[in-house]
Amino acid sequence: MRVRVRTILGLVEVLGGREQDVEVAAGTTVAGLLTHLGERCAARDPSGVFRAEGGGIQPHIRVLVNGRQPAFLLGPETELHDGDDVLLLPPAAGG
Amino acid sequence: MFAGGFTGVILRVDLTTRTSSTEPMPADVARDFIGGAGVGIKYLFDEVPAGADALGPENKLIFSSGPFTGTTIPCASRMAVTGKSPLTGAVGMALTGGFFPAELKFAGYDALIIEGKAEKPTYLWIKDGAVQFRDAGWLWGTHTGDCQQLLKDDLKDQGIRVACIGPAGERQAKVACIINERRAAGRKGLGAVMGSKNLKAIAVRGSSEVGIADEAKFKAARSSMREEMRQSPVLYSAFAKLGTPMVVDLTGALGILSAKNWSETGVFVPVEQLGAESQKEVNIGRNPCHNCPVACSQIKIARTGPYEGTIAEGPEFETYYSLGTNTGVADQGAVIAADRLCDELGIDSMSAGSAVGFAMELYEKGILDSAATGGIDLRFGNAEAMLEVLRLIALREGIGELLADGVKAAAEKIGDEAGYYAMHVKGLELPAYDVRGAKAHGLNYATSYTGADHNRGYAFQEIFGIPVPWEVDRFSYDDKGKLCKWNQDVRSATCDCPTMCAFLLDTSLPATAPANTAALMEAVTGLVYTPEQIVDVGERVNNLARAFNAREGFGRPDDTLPRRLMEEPLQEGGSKGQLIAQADLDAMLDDYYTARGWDVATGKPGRAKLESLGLGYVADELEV
Ligand code: SF4
Repeated sequence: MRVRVRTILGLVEVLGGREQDVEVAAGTTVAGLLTHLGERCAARDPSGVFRAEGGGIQPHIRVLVNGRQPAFLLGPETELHDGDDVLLLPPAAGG
Repeated sequence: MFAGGFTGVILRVDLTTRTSSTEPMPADVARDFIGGAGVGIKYLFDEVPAGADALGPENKLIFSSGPFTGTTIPCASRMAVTGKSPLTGAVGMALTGGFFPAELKFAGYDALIIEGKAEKPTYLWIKDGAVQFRDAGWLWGTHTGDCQQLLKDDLKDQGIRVACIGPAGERQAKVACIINERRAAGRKGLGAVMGSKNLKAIAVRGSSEVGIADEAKFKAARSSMREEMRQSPVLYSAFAKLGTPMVVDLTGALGILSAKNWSETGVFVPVEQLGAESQKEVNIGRNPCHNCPVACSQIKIARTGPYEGTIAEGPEFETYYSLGTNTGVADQGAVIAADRLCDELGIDSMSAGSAVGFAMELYEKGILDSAATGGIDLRFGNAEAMLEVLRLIALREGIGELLADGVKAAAEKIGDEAGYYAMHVKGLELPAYDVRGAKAHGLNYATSYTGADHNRGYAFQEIFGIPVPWEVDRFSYDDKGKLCKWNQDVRSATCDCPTMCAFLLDTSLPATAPANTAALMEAVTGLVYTPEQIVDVGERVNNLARAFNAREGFGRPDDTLPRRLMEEPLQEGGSKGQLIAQADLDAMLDDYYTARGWDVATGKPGRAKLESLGLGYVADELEV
């Protein structure tokens, strides 16, 4: 299946673009996607946004699935579906 | 009388009689309201009678800094300007930073209360204890930048700080603001109040320092605050470099960056043209506020196109919305030029930009024709037309006369379905965040005492994902009333009153702001508060402001949102499908009034709540 991964600011460089479609196996969870992205982006991720060990992402990065934080779904084990919109947000401020 | 922080002196100026006097800052007012917005609203409620004409001599303008202003506390740069708003008829309170607020303090005053109306154009020259009423006929008509420079030259002191109005304030355009340096007490039409008083400018020079009650405690409290700033995951690493425009990227991704008068949020998302990356090319410097180590404020230059070479301080995020996405203008140079124009003419870039976006939608829908626009091709995206209409608004000419008093008044004049497209709450035009995708932020628009004002109760939990006081789902309605109250009270108590730049609240102090404020209050002023008592100050201020509005006839029916937000779901983007239906707004309001201890049917504060906050006299006045 295919999910849309979007990001902003400093993470654009790490992920190699503002948005991209990513092929993952059916049943992939949020945690699984982050591990996959970590492997895929390792060469562009010197500061370790994606954690090398155990998967996951730095605690200040917000992950939204279809606009919602996984905390309000099923956490990192939230299962993704074809066409889901996954947004990775580094800290921002102002406004 | 005060061990530090406060000067203890309020300066009262009567423009009608050309007299001034000083009076002590009452100890109980200082304790209960701290300063800034709190003190401004206290004097507004007590001294401006119900039903006063906001543009008449009975309205007042209160310039009030706080006990932190002018000290070496980082980012304590601000001052509230308070009066009855001509735009909304409710509390008009706007904060400004820069250097004027500290200078007023150095001149010896916690607050300056302006009363009456000058017979002819006048400016005030305040040099420490000396107050002069001076002819401003020669300044009338000047832009705000020129006005400030002319006064510095004339008074032969480049260190003077000036707050002034431009041509829009002189004409009492209700979207007019007050400018000091390149900062604005921007919203709610307070520039029109100043203009109605024939007061062109206030020039200030002071030579005293702000006292500190306990130096050792002060150093400890300040360094602990600095440490929290250093620990912030965003303050120095991102915000100090990118400034507020980074929120263009964030809200664009969240699908809540409002566009084309809120008809194309999530559809028209020009992040590449107006967001953080595009700033690199146009940023040429910084201009931090008084004693601010962050320096988020950026000076920008238009690099290409017809506005090449124009320099502005800003645009900030909100202006990239109001003069950018909201008008369909995805062009850095044009937004920089329009921002500069707003500052020079003395109009609020947010309300004025909203008014232009509103007129553009009406023009595209055929509700306004080219006879109404004076032949201006007012389609979305026409930058030249936007700049021309901004100029006309400030001068009250042509279509500018229709728009100069904001979208609510314009829609009433146009009639028919224009009201549907007028994006405001209580007459104040909406800020950038399309709150269909951020419900507590939307509830704050509906209930803020100044109308649709993101700054009175910013839901950083929804926008930035900060899990304080608890983690929230931005699409959920659960407990959003309680959250909105928390945001409004904490913001008032820790930012708007002491005073403190609100950017520190969410970047550095979200969980510790009340404790930080309490520690600093004790160190600076000697007044001892618990963190809970600090938050009580915020609750008191919100209740008193609410009481002022209730006395003016505002109630639950006014706590609403534009119908578009309740009827049209977002079509695209990161919040696709979201809206705030009337029933959901009603449920949030019930939760909010209950959390506030207000009457759920009327939205009015009751006697028990008011008395618990020491506002028994307000209950008497409201007859509740
Ligand atoms: S962070 Fe920005 S707005 Fe706040 S005090 Fe500093 S320069 Fe001014």
